[in-house]
Amino acid sequence: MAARSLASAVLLLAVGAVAACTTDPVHQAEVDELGPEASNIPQGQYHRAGQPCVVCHGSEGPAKTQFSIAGTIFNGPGASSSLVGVSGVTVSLEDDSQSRFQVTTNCVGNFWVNPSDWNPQFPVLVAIAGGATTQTMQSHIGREPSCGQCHQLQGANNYFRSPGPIYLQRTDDPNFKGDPTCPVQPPTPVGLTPL
Amino acid sequence: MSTLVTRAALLALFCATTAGAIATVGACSSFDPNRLTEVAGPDYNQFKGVLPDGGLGTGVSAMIERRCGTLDCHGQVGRPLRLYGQFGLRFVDDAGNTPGGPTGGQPTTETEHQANYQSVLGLQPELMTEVVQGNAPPGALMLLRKPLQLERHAGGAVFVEGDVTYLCLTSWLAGQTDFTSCQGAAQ
Repeated sequence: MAARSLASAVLLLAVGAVAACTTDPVHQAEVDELGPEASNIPQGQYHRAGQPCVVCHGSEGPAKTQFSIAGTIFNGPGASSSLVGVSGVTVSLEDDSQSRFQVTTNCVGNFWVNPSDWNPQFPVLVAIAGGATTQTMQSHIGREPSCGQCHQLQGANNYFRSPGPIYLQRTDDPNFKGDPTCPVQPPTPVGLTPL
Repeated sequence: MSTLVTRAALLALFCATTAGAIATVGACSSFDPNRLTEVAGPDYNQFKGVLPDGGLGTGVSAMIERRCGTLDCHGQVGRPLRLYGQFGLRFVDDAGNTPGGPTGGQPTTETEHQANYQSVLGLQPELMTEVVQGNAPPGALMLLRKPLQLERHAGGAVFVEGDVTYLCLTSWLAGQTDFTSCQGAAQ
């Protein structure tokens, strides 16, 4: 009888501990705010372009893989046309210890860095290069691993705290349709709306 | 005997609690809502970058905008030492207007310089006054202790003693801003 009570107590404690670890309401709210997956884009390297990747791909999950830095590069600012992700852009990163790392965007513009490949010591400096164009970020990244956390689509509620999405070209090109071989069509972000 | 002791202890506890409650109410009722704490701060013009010849250079405000005020650090509404700037958080007035435009828009405005100055002074107003009046060393300020990592700082170590950022801040606190250091630190 006593053994059964003890077993129940231990089980209850274990369940409670697990529940406590997975119910951070602040983090859960951040995850929920991202909305559901787009119906035509499966989970994987092409999904959720422009969103703050490390909200899910961080230590608190729910994604299984973790990133030390991740984001999306668009072709133009999206001021006069749709945002279109751009492939083959080199993202050059340098951390506080002068350690450098480069990563290239996929066909929706997504890039990510696995901690096993590079785990930067913030702050981090960033530059992007594609074709003949190079852009250097005006300020450093202080600590935020998700580019999309600050680089949001500008709207009435965030224009004073977001520089807008990351883009390679300073002006939009309405003829730019992205990578035609990309398995995700169109390679424009789904569910990314101005705040 | 033991019952008597318990009763006496309970009575003593009751009296102590009552006295504590009365003292607390008394302390609250003596609160003066009109009392002001005057704060002495280092020079505002040097903070925003007014050079000795009257021209405009890179002051402390521009330096901390770049070094501390990024959108993922102190360029956030919810953070202590909230900082505004051209490439970070923009000041929104009560009417909902943003005179400096969006992030990345117009250069840092006078209102934003003033807000940054108030943030810096408001961090430890009494201690800042002591420092300015020469009664406490600048190194006592959280403004230096945090970025030097002498106190826990989520953003880690931002500068070290003797570098341009340190010289910019400490020279301003001493009343003779080293604008060359501020310019170097803001790059």
